[in-house]
Amino acid sequence: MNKTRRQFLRGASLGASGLLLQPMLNRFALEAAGVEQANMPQRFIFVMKSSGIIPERIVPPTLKEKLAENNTTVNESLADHKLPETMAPLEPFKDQLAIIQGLSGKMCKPGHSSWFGAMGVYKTGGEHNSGVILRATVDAELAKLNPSPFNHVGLALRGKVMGKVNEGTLYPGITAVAPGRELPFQASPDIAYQQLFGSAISNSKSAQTRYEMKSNLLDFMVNDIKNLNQSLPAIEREKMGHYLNAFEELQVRRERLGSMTERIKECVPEFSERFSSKRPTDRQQAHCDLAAAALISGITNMVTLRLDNISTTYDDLGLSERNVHGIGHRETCNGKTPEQARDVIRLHHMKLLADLANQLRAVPEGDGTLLDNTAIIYMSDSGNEHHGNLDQWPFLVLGGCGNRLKTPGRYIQFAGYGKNGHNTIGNWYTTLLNAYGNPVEHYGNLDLNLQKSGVPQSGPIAELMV
Amino acid sequence: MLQNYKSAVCILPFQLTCVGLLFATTLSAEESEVASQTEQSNAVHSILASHCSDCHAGEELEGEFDLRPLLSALKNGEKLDATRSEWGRVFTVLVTNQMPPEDADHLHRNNRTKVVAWLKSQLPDVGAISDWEHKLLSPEYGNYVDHDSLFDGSVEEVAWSPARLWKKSAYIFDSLADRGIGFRAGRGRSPHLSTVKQPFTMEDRAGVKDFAAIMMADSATLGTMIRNAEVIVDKHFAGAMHELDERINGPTPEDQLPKDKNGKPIRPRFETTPKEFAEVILSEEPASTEQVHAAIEKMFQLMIERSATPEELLKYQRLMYECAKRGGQAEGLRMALIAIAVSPPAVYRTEFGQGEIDQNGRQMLSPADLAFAIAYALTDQRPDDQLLEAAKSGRLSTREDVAREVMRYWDDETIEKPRVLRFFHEFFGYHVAPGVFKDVSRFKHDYRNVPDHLVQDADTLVKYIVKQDRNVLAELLTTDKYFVSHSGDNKIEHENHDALQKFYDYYKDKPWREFPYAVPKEHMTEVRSYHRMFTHANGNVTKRWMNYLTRCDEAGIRHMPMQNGREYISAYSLDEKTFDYPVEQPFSLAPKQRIGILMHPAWLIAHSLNLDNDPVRRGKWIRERLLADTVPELPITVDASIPEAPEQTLRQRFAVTRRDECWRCHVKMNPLGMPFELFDDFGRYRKVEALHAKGKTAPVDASGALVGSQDKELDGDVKDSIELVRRLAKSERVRQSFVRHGFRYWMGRNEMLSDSSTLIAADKAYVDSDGSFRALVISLLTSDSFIYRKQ
Repeated sequence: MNKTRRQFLRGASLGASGLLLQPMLNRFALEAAGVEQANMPQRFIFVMKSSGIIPERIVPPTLKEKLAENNTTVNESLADHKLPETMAPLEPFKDQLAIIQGLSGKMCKPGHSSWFGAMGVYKTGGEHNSGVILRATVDAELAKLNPSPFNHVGLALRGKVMGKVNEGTLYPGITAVAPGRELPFQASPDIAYQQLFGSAISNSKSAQTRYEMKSNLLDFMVNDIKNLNQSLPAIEREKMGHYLNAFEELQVRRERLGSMTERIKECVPEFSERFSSKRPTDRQQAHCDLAAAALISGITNMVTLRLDNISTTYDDLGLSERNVHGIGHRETCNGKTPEQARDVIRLHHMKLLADLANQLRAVPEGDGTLLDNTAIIYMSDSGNEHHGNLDQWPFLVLGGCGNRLKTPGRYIQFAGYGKNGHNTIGNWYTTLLNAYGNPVEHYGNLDLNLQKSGVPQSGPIAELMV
Repeated sequence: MLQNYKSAVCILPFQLTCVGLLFATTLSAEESEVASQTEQSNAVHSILASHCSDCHAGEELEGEFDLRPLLSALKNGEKLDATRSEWGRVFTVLVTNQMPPEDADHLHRNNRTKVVAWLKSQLPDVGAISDWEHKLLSPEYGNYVDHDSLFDGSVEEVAWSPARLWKKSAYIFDSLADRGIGFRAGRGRSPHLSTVKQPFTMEDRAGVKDFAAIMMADSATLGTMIRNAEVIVDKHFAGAMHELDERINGPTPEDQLPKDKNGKPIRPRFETTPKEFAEVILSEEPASTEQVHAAIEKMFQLMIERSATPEELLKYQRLMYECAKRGGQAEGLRMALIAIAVSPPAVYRTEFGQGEIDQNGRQMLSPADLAFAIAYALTDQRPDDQLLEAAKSGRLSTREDVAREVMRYWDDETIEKPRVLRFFHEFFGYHVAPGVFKDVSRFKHDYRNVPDHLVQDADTLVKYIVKQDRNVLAELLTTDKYFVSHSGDNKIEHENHDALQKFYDYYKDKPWREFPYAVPKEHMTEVRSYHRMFTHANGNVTKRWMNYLTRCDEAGIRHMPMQNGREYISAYSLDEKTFDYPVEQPFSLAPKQRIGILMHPAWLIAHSLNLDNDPVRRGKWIRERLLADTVPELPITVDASIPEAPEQTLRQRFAVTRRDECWRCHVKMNPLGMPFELFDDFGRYRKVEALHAKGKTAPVDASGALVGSQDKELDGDVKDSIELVRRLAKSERVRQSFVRHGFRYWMGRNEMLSDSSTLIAADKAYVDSDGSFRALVISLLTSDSFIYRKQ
C-alpha cells in the first residue's frame, strides 16, 4: 500500500467521523436538540440461525385462517394479533416487529445452507464447502452505507454450517465483503471483547502508556513492511500488501476509536465468566451483549451474528440427546417431538432477540431510542426448513428501521411462488438497499423461472418503502 | 506467479509463431506486427469456423449461442470487442475442454492452445479470462495443465518455482505452541498457552490446501497475532515484572494476599522469566546493546525459530529505545518483542533464491531457506540442529546435500513426519468422515465415535503400506488387507491381548457380577500388575468387559482390544458378537466384498451424503484425483438435486442426470461412482439396497464403466467397484496423477509445463523403485522445482 492509499483511509475516517461519529458522541445533546431521525446513524444486526425457520410456526394463530389462501399479499397490523407462544418474548416489541413471509429464494442452493447465497442471492457452495464469492452480501453492502470504525463485526458460535470448530477466527461462509473476500467471524467472546473494547477498558496510566506505545509499534511495522516490500518480487508484494493493509486498518481504527474512549467505557459490558464460558447458550448471550454494546458505543453499525449451526447441541435447554441437525432430521430429543424441540430453540432465540432489543431501547436517541434506528434481521441460511426448498424464506425484522420502511408492526405475507405479487429475497434486499441509500435496480441473481413466467423482479418492493 | 502460469501454459506456441514470422518477412516492425496479428486472427477464425460453425453459426443455434458476430470480427481483422460477453464464453468452454462435445470432431490440443492464447493476449481484461488466471492458482484447477504435455517429454524448459512468500500453516503454529514457546510443553497445547489462539485458519475441506499463492494473512490474522503476542510476552515477563514491582514498592503485605483454606497467605508464583529478558527488565542502568540484542535474539528463537540478522537486531533495538522513551525500559522491550511476534517472518516463510543466477535465470534457494523448506516439507517444525548446522557450514548448497538431508529426515524414525500421513489425508480425503452428518438411527448402533475409529483404522493401513514401501499406490487401491481396531504394532497388540486374557482368566471364576463400583483391593492389585490399562477397571468396567470376554470364550473367538464402541466394526460388515479378532494385522478381511482405501468405510462415509451414497462425488474424486481429468463447475443456474422418490433405488433416482444438458458432465462422474453402490452410505457391504420407503428393498446394481484411463485395455464396463479399482491400479495415467498430486502437495502450487522434467523424474523414480513412496518424495524434494527459484 502506498502513501496515497493510507491518506485515503485517513480521509475516509475523518469523513466518517464528520458524518457519523460526532452525532454518536453527542447523542445526548442531540436528544435535547431534537435532531431529525433521518440524520441518525442506522444500525443493523443480521442474526443467522441454522436449520431453517418453519413458516407456519411464526404465524399468529388468529391470522392462520386468513393466510390459508396464498394467492394474494396479506399485510396486517400485528397489534390486533397475539404472537405464537414461542415468540412471546417479542410481544412487548410488537410495534417494532415485522414478520415477513412468502419471499422465495429459488436462485440459491437448497440444502443445509445456501452459504453466501442466503445474503448474496445466488447459487453457490456444496455440502461442505461454501463455494465462490460472487459479490458482497447484503449485510456488507449495508455496512458500506453506514461506515464506522469496525465497519462490519462478525460473531459466530461455530464455523461452517456443519463445522465443529468453535474458537478463534472462523469463516462460516455466509458473509462476503467483496467478490472473493469473506468476512472473518470471531467465535471466542473473550477475544471479541478485547478486540472491540480493549482500547478503552483500562483507566490506568500504564495502560494509557501502552496504548500510546502501540502507535509506535504500528508505525514501525507499517514502515518495516513497506521497506520489505521493495525487495520482494512484484507478485509477492500483493500478498504482503494484505498484511500491510491490516496494520494500516488498525492505525486508522485507532484514530477513530481514540476520540470515542469515554463513550465506549460507558457502554462496554462488564467482563464476566460468560465471555469465557464454553456453553453455547452462554456464548450466544455473550455475543448478543457484545453486539448491543458495539452498536450502542458507536464502534460499529453492522453486526452479523452466526447464532448457531447444525452441530450445535442445546444441552442447557434440555435438548442434550440430539444436535440441531438431528432435530432437523426429525429425530425425537429428550422425549420431545422434533416440533417441540424446535419450539424450545425458537423460544430461546426469541428471548435473545428481546434482550438485544431491550438493550437498544434503553438508550435514548433523538426523540426516541436507539432501537428506532436499528434493524435486527433474523433469518436462516437454509430458508424455510432444515433442508429448505427455498420456495419460502421467512424473516423477522425487529426495530424501527429508522422510519425508512413500512414494515414495523406488520405481518406481511407475499403471494405464493409464481403468483402475482410474489417477491424474492432479491427483491427484499433490493428494498433494504434502496431504503438505506443505495438505489440499486436489483440486488443479486434473478429467479429465471419467475422471469420466464413474467413475474417482475426489478426495483424495491413498493409497499414496503416509505 | 500469475505471469508464470501465463507464460508456461499458453504463450509459448505464439512465441514460436512469432519467431517463425521474423525469418519469413523483411517488413518493418510495425508492419510485421500487423501481419502477425492478421495471420493469427485468420488462424483462430479458421479453427473456430471449422469446429464450431455447424452448431453455432448455422440456422439453428445450439445452446442459443451465436458465434457469427465473433467469426465476422475475426475475418475482418477487427480489434476484438472486450465488452462482448461471448468471448468469455468461448474462452471458458475451450479452456475447460467442454467444447467441442465428445461426439464432434476432435479439436487438437495445439489448436485449442492457440485459440486460448490468442484470446488471452487480445482480451486480458475480460472477466472470464482474468478470473481463469486466478483460478489456475488454486489446487482444484491443477488438472487443467495438459497432462500429456507434462509427461511426454516434449517440454524443454527447465524446472523452477517462483521466488515466493508462503504463509505458515495452522499446523506449524500448533506445533510451535504445543512445544511451549519457552514454557513447559504439555500434551498438546502447553498449559501456559491455553489462551493463545490459532491465527492461521485453513479450510476444513478435503484436497490439497496449503498453496503458497492463495494463503494470505489478513486483518483477522493480525488481530489474533497481536493478542497472542501480548499473552506470550506478558507471561514471560510476569516473574521479572513482579520482582521489579517488589523492588520498587516492597513485597505485598501478608494481610493483602489471598489466603488458602488454612488461612495461610498465598504468595504469587510465576514462571521464571528467560534470563535474556530479565536482565533488561531488571537492569537499573540502561541495558547494554549486548543485553538488548540477546533479548531480541531470544524472541527470534522462541517465535520465529531462527537467529535474528544484524539488521533485525538493530531495527528492533531502535524500536525498543523509541518506546522506552514513553514507558521505560521494560515496556520498551515488551513492545519490541511483540513487534517480533507479529513481524512478517512470524507469518510468512521465505523462499528466495540466492547467489549466482544461472543461464535460465534461476537461483538456488539460500541454504537457510532450503533448510526450512526441507523441514517444513516433512514436519511442522523448524529444521533440526543437524540441518541448521549443514546450512550454516555450507553443506546445503548442492542437490546432493539436499538429498542427503531429505533421506536422513525420511529414514530417521525418531523424527515425527506428520506431513506424510497428511498427504494421504488430503489426497484420499477419508479423514473428513467424522464431519459427514448421518441419519444415525439407520446405523443401529451408537454412531458417535464410529467415523473417528474408522479414520484411525484407515490411517494405520496407510502408515503400514507406506512403511512397506512397495507399489504403494496400487497397494493402497487394491490391498485386501485391513486393520480393524489395531494400533499397527503387533507386538503391543499381543501384549494387550494377552493381558486381557489374563484379566479374564483371573476373574472368570470369581464373583465379578457382584462387584461394587470400588473393586476389592486385592483384585485391583492383581489385575493392575498385568497391565496399566486396568488402572481404572472399576466394578462397572470389569462387569462390562467380563460380559464381553465371557461371550467370546463361549463362542470360541478371540476378543477385541479393550476399547469402547467396538460395534463400530459393523461398518466393515462385521459383527462384534461373532468377530474372531486377529491379533496379527493387517488381515484379509473380505476380498470378494471390498479392497483398498476406496472401499474402506472411512472413505465411503467421507464421500457420502446424510441419507445416501454420493456417486457424483465419488466419481468426481476418481475423475480428478486418479485420472487427472477435469469436471466443469456446476453452472449456477442448475438446481442439482435428485428427486426424492422413496420407491426407487439411488441409481433410478439419478436417471434425471441422463438429460442431455446434465449428462455432458455427469458422464464423467456417474459411471465411476455407481460401482460403489456395492456398499451403503455407512460403508457396509450389501446385496440389496434399502429404499427410503420403509421396509422396501431392491437388488444392488453396482455396474459402471471406466472411461478416460487413456488405455484401451483398461477402459470399458465394470461390474462393480472391485473390478473398477483393480483396473485403475494398473493404469499409467493413474500413477502419474498420483505423482502430480504429490507434486502439488510438496511444492505448494499447481504444476506448470516447465515442471515436466520434475514430474517425469519423480514418476521414473517411483517406477524404478517398485513403487517406493520414499523414492517419489525424495525425487520431488531434490528436483529443480523444489531447489530453484526464479523471479
